[in-house]
Amino acid sequence: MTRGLPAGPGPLARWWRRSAPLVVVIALVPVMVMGCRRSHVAGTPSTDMVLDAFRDSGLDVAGVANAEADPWGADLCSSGKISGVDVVICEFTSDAQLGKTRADAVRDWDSVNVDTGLVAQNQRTLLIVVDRGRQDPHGRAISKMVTAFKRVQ
Amino acid sequence: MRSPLSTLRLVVAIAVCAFAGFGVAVQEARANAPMVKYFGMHPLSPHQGEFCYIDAIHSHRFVPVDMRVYVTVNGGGTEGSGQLYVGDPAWLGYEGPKVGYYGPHPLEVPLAPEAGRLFCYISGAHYHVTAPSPSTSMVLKDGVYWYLGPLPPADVQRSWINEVHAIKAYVPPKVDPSAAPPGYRPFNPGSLAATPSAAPGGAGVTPSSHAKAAGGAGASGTAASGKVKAAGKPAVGGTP
Repeated sequence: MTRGLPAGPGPLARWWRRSAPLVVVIALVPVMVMGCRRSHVAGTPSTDMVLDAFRDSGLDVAGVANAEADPWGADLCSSGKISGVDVVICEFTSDAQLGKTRADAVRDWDSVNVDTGLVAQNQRTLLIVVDRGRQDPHGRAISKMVTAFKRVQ
Repeated sequence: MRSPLSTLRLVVAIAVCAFAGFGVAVQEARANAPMVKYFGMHPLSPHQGEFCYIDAIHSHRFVPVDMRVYVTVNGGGTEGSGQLYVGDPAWLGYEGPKVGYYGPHPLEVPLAPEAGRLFCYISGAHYHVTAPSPSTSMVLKDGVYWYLGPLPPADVQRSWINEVHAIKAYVPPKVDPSAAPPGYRPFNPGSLAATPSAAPGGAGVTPSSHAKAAGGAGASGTAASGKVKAAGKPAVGGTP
């Protein structure tokens, strides 16, 4: 007999035999949902909060999706295009790694075709904006992003 | 012997290859040009009304075209040094909220707190994007701020900013200099002896000096100041 599970010919055992698969599925659903959801870094604005702030500022964030965090040395990242410019938002647990990513991003601009570049930090969340091809020549969209980003708490 | 048609084909092929190679070279040259850091908003080259509204530290792949309206500041820490626009933003195309000032006054640079104390050397009426922090030395009268504190050191190169021409649409704040608040001392931001061409420079300049000079904007020059790398006299390229 398995400890903790009803066995034998009783009504409870019959119910268990009939319902066990359903119970297991119901129990696993929350686990599966939690597994799909990314866990954010505590104590710093999350990428979702930043994107919400962008949306509230009138920016279209439909082009931003979850992204690989490893290339940025981060714990969690989202990236994509907003108003034609490339945007990366990353959460870090390590201040040292954040500083390194920040420095590397700026250094890389010298060797690639970037017209305008910006890195902003809010606690341990980094916003990297790169305009290639002068999609935002007056920086109005970038300015909105920075203002919204700095307001997130 | 090669026929004229094949020769033509050869010439066209060489031309196409050369053109493609030139394109690649231009791309590489563009990528190799260093990025220049800007501290906040600034006019865009060639200073004819286009403005960059990014009010944060950012980088562009172009150098400032007129150093009379920039100072090089040190942002400290990881920021390093970059260019800070110290002119009237409305001179060169800024459209947005602005605050009137009259004469030189301390400049607040929240993006570069380690830059130290900076002064605006603009004579007469002008605008900045933000109001000064509350201070007994900054008095708001008749819609503009007047600086009543200790005067900044005379700076010939910084005073060249008064030679910059605004765009045609520029209208300075209306100010009657004779209605200055008690304690206001007119200030000549440059040395008269050293700035023979600084026509509308000194104190008492009419508020509309920039509007009068309007018409064409921008100039190429190389002035500097305070923590600025000094260079030669600016070569005014705008409409005089």
